Amino acid sequence: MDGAFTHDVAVVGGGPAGAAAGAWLAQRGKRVVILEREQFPRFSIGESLLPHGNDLLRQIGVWQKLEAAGFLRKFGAEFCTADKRRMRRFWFGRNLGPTHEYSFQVERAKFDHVLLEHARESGCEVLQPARGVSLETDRDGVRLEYEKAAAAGESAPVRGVLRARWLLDASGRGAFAANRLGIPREATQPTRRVAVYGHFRGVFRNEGKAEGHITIVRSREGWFWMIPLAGGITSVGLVVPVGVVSEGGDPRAVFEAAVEAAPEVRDRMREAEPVGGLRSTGDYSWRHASFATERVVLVGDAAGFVDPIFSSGVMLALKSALRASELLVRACSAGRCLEPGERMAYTREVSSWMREYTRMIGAFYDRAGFEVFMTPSEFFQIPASIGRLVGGFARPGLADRMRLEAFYLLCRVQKFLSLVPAIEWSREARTGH
Amino acid sequence: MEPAPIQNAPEVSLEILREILVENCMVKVDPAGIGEETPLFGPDSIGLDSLDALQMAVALEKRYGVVLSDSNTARDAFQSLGVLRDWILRNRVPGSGAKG
Repeated sequence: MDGAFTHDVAVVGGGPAGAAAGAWLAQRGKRVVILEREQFPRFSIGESLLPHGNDLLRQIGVWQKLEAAGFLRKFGAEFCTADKRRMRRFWFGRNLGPTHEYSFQVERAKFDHVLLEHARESGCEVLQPARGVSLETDRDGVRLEYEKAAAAGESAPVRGVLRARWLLDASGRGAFAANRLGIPREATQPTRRVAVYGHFRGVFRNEGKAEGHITIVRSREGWFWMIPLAGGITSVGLVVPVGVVSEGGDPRAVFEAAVEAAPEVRDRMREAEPVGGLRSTGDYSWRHASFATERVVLVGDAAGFVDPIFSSGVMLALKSALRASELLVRACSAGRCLEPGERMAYTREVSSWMREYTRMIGAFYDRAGFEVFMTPSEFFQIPASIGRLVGGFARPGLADRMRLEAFYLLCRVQKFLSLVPAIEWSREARTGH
Repeated sequence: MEPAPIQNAPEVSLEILREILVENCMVKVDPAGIGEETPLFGPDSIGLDSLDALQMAVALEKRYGVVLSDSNTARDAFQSLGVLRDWILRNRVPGSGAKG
C-alpha cells in the first residue's frame, strides 16, 4: 500500500460504538478519525440503556456528562400482557446491587451527540457529515476513500483518502466495511419482524421511582415498547412479523389497530398526542459470520443485530467497541495485524453475548417460555438470574448460567405440563378484559 | 372521545396503600419499612398470604372501584406497593390513567 499512514484508526460511524471506541483509543494516544454520515443531533431508535453499560460509559469518562444532561433515570423494566391480566416489574438494584441501580432512557439525538463530542474532546478528528466511498485493505492497513459534504463556503462535496492501520466498522446495520469485504450474514432468529414507532406526549407514567421504567407489552402477534423520556415524551413502538404490516398495508393503520387491540397499551395511550410522525424499520436478527479481518473489526450493529426487547443494543455496541479497541491497542503495540486466533476469539466472544440475549428473546416469543418468564415463583432463584441478564450482564457467571439453564428447561417442560399459569391470548382479542 | 374527569376520585399514594395494607393484612414487619419496591408475597417479602390478598382485594374494590377478578392478575398487581399504585391508577376509571 502506497503512502504514509494518516491515522492509527479510522472509525466508520459516529454512533455510540464508534464514539466510544474513538474516545477510548484517543485517550490512549492513538490518532483516530471518525467518519459520521449525518449532522448531529439526529433522531435514532434504541433509546433504552442497561446498567451494565454504565461501567463502559465510565471507562471512557463520559458518565458525568450524561448525569448532567438531564436524561430520565431508568431503574428497571416491566413486562405486561396486552390484555392487562399479567404484569411483572423488575428492579435493576434488586438483582445487580446498588452500584447498578439505574441507567438512562435517552433521546438518542442528544445522547449520541454528547458521546461524539466527548470523542472529539478526547482527541478524535471527526469528519461530519462524511461517508465512506471505497475501502481497500492489506496486511499493513486500510485505504479509505470518503466524501465529505460541502461546508459553508464550499461549492461541492470534498473527496479525500485516509490511510489508517486499522478500520473499525461502527456504521450500524448498513455495515459499510463488512459489505465491501463480502463477509456473509446469517439470520439468528427465523421470523422477520418490523418495528413501527413514534414519540408521544401524555402517555401514562408510573409514579415514583418507576417513572423511568421501560414497559414491554406482549401481544399475541408481537410486542410494544413504551420508553418514557425526559420532558414528558414517551417513545412507543410496535414490533410485529413482517407479514402483519404488508397485509395490513399502511404502517400507521397497523399501529393504530394494534394499539386498539391491546388494552394495556390503549389505556396507557388514551390521552396521548403524537409528536412528529410514525417511522418504521426492519427488525431482523442476524450477525456476520466473522467480526474481524487482519485490519478491520466490526463493532455494534455492524457486527450483528439483536432483537431490541431487552434493550441490549447500545450496551452490546459499547461492549464490543471497547473489546475491539483493546485488541487493536495490543496488536498495534506489537506492530502486527490481528492474528487468526484473536479474530476468532473476538467473534466468539461477541457472538456469545448476542446469543445469550437471542436465547432469552426466543423464550419471550415462545408461548410456554413467556408463561414461565411472567411467573414470579422463585424456582432456584431463576428470576434473579433473568433479572441480571435483563440488567445487562451479557456473560453470566456459572451459577447464573445454571439457573438460566433451569429456566430454559422449565420452558420446555411448560409446553407439556402447565407448571405455571397459562396465558389465555384469545380473551384479549374478544373483549379486552 | 374525551374521557370524563373523575370527580372526587380517592387519592392513590404509597402512604394510603400502606395504611390499607396495615388495616387489612397481618403485617409482621414495621410498616414504615415497606417501600415501593418491597415484595409483598413470596420469598424475601414481608410474608403476606392468600387470605391477606383477598382482604386487600376487597378493600381496594371498596375504595377505588377496581376489580381484581383473576388470581394471577391479583398476584401480579400485589408484587409491591409501587406496582399496586400504578395498577390502580391505570385501572380505576377509564381515562384516569394519564398524569398531569
